[in-house]
Amino acid sequence: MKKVLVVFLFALVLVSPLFAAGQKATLEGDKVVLTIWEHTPQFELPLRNTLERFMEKNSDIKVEYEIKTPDNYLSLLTTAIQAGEAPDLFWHHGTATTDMANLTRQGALMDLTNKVDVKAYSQMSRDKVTWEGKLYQTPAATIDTRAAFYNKDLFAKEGWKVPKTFAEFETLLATIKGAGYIPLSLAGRDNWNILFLFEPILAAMHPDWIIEATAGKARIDDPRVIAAMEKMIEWGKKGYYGTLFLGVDEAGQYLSFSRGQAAMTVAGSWTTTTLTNNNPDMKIGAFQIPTRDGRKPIVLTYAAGFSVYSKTKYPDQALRLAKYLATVESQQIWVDGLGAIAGLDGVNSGSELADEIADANLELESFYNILVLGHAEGKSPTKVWEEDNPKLFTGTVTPRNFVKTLDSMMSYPNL
Amino acid sequence: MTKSKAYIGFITPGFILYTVFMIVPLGFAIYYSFFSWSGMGAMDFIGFDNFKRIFFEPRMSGIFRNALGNNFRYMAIAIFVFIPIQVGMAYLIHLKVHGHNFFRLMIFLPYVISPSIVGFFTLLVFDPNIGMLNTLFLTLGWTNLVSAWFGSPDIAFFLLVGVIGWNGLGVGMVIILANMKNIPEDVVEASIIDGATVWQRFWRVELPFLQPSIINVVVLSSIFALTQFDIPFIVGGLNGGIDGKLDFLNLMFFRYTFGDAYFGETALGFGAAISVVVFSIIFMIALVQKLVFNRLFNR
Repeated sequence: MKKVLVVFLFALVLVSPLFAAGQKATLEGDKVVLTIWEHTPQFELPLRNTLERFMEKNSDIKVEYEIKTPDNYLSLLTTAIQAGEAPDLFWHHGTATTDMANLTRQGALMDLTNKVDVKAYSQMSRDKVTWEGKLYQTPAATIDTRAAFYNKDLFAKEGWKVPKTFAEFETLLATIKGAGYIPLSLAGRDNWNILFLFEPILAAMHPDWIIEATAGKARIDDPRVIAAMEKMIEWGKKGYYGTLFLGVDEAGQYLSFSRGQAAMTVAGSWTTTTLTNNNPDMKIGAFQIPTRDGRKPIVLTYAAGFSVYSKTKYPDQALRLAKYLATVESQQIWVDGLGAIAGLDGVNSGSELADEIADANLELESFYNILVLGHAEGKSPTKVWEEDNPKLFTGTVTPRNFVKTLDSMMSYPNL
Repeated sequence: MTKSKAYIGFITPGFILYTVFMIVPLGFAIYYSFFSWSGMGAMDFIGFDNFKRIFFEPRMSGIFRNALGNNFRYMAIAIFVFIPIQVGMAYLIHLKVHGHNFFRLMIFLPYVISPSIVGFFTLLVFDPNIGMLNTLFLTLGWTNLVSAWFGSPDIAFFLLVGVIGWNGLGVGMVIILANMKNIPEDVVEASIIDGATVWQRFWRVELPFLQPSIINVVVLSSIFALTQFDIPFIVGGLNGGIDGKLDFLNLMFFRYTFGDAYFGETALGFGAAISVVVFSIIFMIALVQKLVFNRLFNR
C-alpha cells in the first residue's frame, strides 16, 4: 500500500508541471476573449486605453493584452505561430523589416484588404502595412521621429536659445559644456540610441544624401555619410556626451537628462511620456537639429499597427478589433496615450511637446530604413549596423570601413 | 535475476527523463544544424554551410573567436583564481576563525540572489552618470576613481568576471568545505603532534584529501564558464557589450538564433549549428579534464 502511494505521489510530481502551464481562456461566459501582443512596455498605456474604449463599445468581446520586450519579441511570436498558438492580434514591424515578408510567406496573417478602411491614411503609412498589394496590418497614426529634447528651465536660467542653424547648435554644445553640464546625454552602449542621434546629425549635415539615397541614387559608401559619422565621433571626443558615455545605457541617458545633469538629449519621439514621467516638474522643450542653411529636417518613420492571426479561433471578433484599431477615434486615444505626433487628418498630436517635435519643414527618410529597403538578398546591413555602431566611439571600427561593410550588403539597381 | 530487475526499475525513470529532455533535443539540434530554417515554414537542407559560416566566414568567424576567447578567459580565471580563493575561504571557515558563521552566510548569500537581480543591481551600481559607485567617489572627492566601468574596454571584462564570481563563489566553497569535514581528524592531529605548521598541515596533509571536491569544482566551473549567459546579457546587452568584450558563446547563440541578428530573420538552423559547436567544445574539454585528472591522481 505504501509502495503504491509512493509511486502515485512520484507520478503526480512528474505530471504536475503540465497543469501549471494551463490553457488560455478564450470564452468568459458569453464573451469572446481575444489576446493581443505588443512588443514594448512603452506602448502599454495607449494600448490599454484603446482596448478599454473598444470593450465599452463591444460588450460581447473581452481583450487581454500581453506586453513583451523588444529583444525577444520576434522569437516569441515565431515560436507561438509555429506552435499554432499565436495571439489573435499582434504587433510587428510591418515592411520596416523582413517581418511582413516572412509572416505572409508562412501564411500567418489574415488578409485585411477591403475589410479594414485605411483610405484616410497617407501612402507612406499604408506602404508600411501592405505587402504585394494586400493589406495585412492596421496602419498607425503616429509618426516616429527623433528630436533634441532640452531643459527649458535650464535654458532660460543660462540664457541659451534654441539654435537656428547647425553652426549655432555646435556653438551651443560648446557653451553648455563650458557651463559644467553635459550638453547631450547619450547611451554609448546602446546601438539604437546611437542610431537616433546619428540620423538627425546626418539629416542636418547632408539632407541631400538622404533624398538621393531614398530615390536609390546614392550609395551608403558616400563621403557625406562618413562626414556625419565623423561629426558624431568628434562630439564624443569633445566631451559633449559626457566623459563616461560609453558606459551609459538607455535608462541612464534619460535619467541623466531628467535629473538635470544633461541640458539636452536626442531621443525618439515616443520617449516624451518617459521623459515627462521621469521628472514631472521639468519643463521640456524639443527642436529638430537645423541644417547649415536653417532648414528644419525631420526624420520620419511611420509606425505600424496590428495584424490578425490567420488561424484565430474568432475571426469575426478579431476583425472587429482590427477595424476599430484603424479608426480615427482609436488612433487619437493611442496618440494621446503616447504623447506622440499624429500623422493622420482628424487626429491631433498628443501634446504641446509633440507639436514642437513636429515643427519642421523638410521630411526625410531614416538612415535605418534606407538600409532595410536597399539590402541585398540574404544580407542584413541593419544588423551589422546594430552590432558595430558603438565601436565607432572606441575606434575599433572606423567610419570609412564601416560604411564600406554596410555598402557591400546593399543592392543598388538604379546605379 | 531479481537484483538486475531492481536495477532496471531504479534507473528507468531517470533514463527516460534524461533521454526525453536531454538526448532527444540534442539529436534535434544536430539535425536542424544542417538546415537553413527561420523557425516557420520550409526547411532547406544546406549541409555543412552553417558550420562553414561559423568557422570561415570573415565576420562571423571573428565574432565566434572573440566569444570563445572570452569564455576561455573566464574559465582560466575561474580555475586558477576563483578556486584557490574558494579553497582558502573554506579553510578559514573550517578553522573556525572569529565570525566564521557570519562569513559563511555572507559568502554564500549572493548565490541565492537570481542572476537577473544581480545584473540589474550591477547596472544601478556601475552606471557612470547616476550609479552609486561614481556618485560615492564624487561625493568623497575621489574623482580619479570615477570610471565608465562597463563602458571601458580595458576593464569591462574583468568587472563582469568579478560580478559573476561574487555571485557564484559560495557554491564551490560549500562543496570544498563539505569535503573538509570528512578529512580524518586523527591524520590532522598526528601532523600537529609531528610539529607541522598551519601551512604545512594544509598543503601536505589536508589539501590532498580535497582532491574529489576540487576536481568536481573544476569541472563545474568549466561548464559554468562555457555556458555563461544571463549576467552578460543583462549587463552587456544582446550585442556583447563594449567592443564585444562581454560577448560569450551562449549570448552569440541567442543573438543569431532569436534576435534576427544575421539573416534579418530568426535563424534556428544557424543557431542549432552554434549550439552543436558549443556542445562539442564543452564535451572535448570535459574529456580532456577527465584524462588529465585520471593521469594525475591515478584514478
